[in-house]
Amino acid sequence: MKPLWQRWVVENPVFRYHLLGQTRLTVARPLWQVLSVALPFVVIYFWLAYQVATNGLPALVITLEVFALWLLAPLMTHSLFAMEFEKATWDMLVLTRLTAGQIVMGKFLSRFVMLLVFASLFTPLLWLAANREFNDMASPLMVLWGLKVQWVIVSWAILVSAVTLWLSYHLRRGMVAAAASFAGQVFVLFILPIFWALFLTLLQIAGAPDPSYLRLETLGRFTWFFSWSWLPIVYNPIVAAVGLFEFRTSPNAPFLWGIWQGIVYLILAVAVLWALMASVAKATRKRLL
Amino acid sequence: MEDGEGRVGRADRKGRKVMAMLEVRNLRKEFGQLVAVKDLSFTLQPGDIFGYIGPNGAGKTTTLRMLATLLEPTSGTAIINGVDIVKEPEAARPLIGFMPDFFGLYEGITAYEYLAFFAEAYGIPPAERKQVIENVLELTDLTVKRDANVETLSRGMQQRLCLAKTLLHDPLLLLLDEPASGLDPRARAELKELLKEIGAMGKIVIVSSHILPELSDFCNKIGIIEKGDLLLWGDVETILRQLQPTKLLTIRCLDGAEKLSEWLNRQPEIVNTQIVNSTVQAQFVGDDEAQAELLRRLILDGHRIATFTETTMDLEDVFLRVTKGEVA
Repeated sequence: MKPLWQRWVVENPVFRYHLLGQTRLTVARPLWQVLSVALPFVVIYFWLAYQVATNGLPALVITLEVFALWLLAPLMTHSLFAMEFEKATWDMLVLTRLTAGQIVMGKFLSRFVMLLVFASLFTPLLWLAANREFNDMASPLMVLWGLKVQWVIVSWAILVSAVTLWLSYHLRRGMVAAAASFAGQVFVLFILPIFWALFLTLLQIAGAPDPSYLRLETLGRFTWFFSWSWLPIVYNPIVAAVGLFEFRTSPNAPFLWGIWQGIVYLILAVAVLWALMASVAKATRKRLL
Repeated sequence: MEDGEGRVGRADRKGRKVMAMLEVRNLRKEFGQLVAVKDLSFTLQPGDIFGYIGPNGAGKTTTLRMLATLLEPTSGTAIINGVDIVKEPEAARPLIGFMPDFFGLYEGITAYEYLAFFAEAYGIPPAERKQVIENVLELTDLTVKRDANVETLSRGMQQRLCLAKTLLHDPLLLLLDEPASGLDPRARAELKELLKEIGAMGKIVIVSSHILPELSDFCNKIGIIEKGDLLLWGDVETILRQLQPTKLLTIRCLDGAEKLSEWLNRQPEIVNTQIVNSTVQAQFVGDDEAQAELLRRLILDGHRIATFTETTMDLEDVFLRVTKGEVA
């Protein structure tokens, strides 16, 4: 049997279609139209690069990246199965020799590549911000910091993509249901944390003890893992990523802070994808891998 | 007849055992209380084009989806070339080509890329892919549209493209669910020709439809399903003979219909006559020889015959006679 890499990527038409075929411009557009769409993004990007190079603001870059992936990860993934049901291509795909793993991973990995591309756009911004802000840090540590930040955010985006893909399949409906699920995810991932932050701020104003997740070192090295605040940490990568900024030089930083959250995200993502592959294999009576 | 390996076979005219290419055995599908398909059984041979007829909601699509391994039967099975579709769905799929009633096309790619996608998905070796795609494009008359975006193709062309996709892996059994629905008369005629060609290639073709004239031209076998029950199935000619024990002769005589009717009623082969406008319709029992003899006697007795035609039953008559217009 061929290695998974070959079956899931190299010899997988589903992966190639979703990465290249589906994203192609089907109607040739004049250059001015393409430029007029692309130019604002390019201008904003370079303006942002100038701002962070001048003022630092690594926390702003982290927040922007998380927010961008917050929206993009579900947006890119929510229609992958819904589109098959809506356009009635699913039955035709089921009748091919592709395994459940090839179908699921072909779709997922195409979005993974896109996520990496989007995340990589933020790497220069992170580097510029860190270079301006961290006078107390040696260059190798700065690179390590940047890698850890990307690790947390990208692994979290992978989890969001996996969950969105799972929803897209299990809803078993067309694009309207997929769009509703996307809206639901935006609410849960985007709006709810804002409400949560507001709630915590109000608590502080009312005189309640500081509920900051970042005071975890007081709980000891491993106890934080089981603490009530563990789930929100997994849930919200900003806490983990900004924590990296806070703990960058602290000798009391929690053990594997940032690395561990990324691992948790990825373990959950693998579990979700595995469950999805098993569901597809069972429903279609196909081989799992 | 079952051999030691549990495969279904039958003896040919010379007593040699041949494999029945498709044997459907007691296929049944229940959706809760609703029995969509009730214990279907039939056998088809290579080259058979089977017209699967029934009103909307009769169970045609459910049957085809079960045969295509997309739906698991509640009980029963079907054997395709010795492969059990229930026990070995993955082994059966390469033998099956299924064109659903409502099908979609992947967006943003050309007809050639669409076929290349499925050629790879069907596991056709890279070295053969190009040739296979060219062949099906030619067979379905789509070579000129190979670089056209699939979304820009007309409904008829999309139908042909879907059929080309269905033929890519050279399946033994083709399941076509309402293939002509939504097509204009020209596209329908072209599809008919194409299906005849495919039948001549020795494949088994099952075509479901409720538009009977489109099936009558090229199906050699039919099955009529109503409310999940297969009411009858077999050779078209045999069924017509069974359902029409008497022939209907329409005769027009220049000397008047009443005189002719009286003469016909005296003949032993004639069961009944009826005058319709200026012609006589006579129910006749006998073979072609007896029919020719009747015509000879008519002329010898001095009747001036202007027309003498046999009105045969068509699929629509068969369908109306067999079904009650009920749905499951």
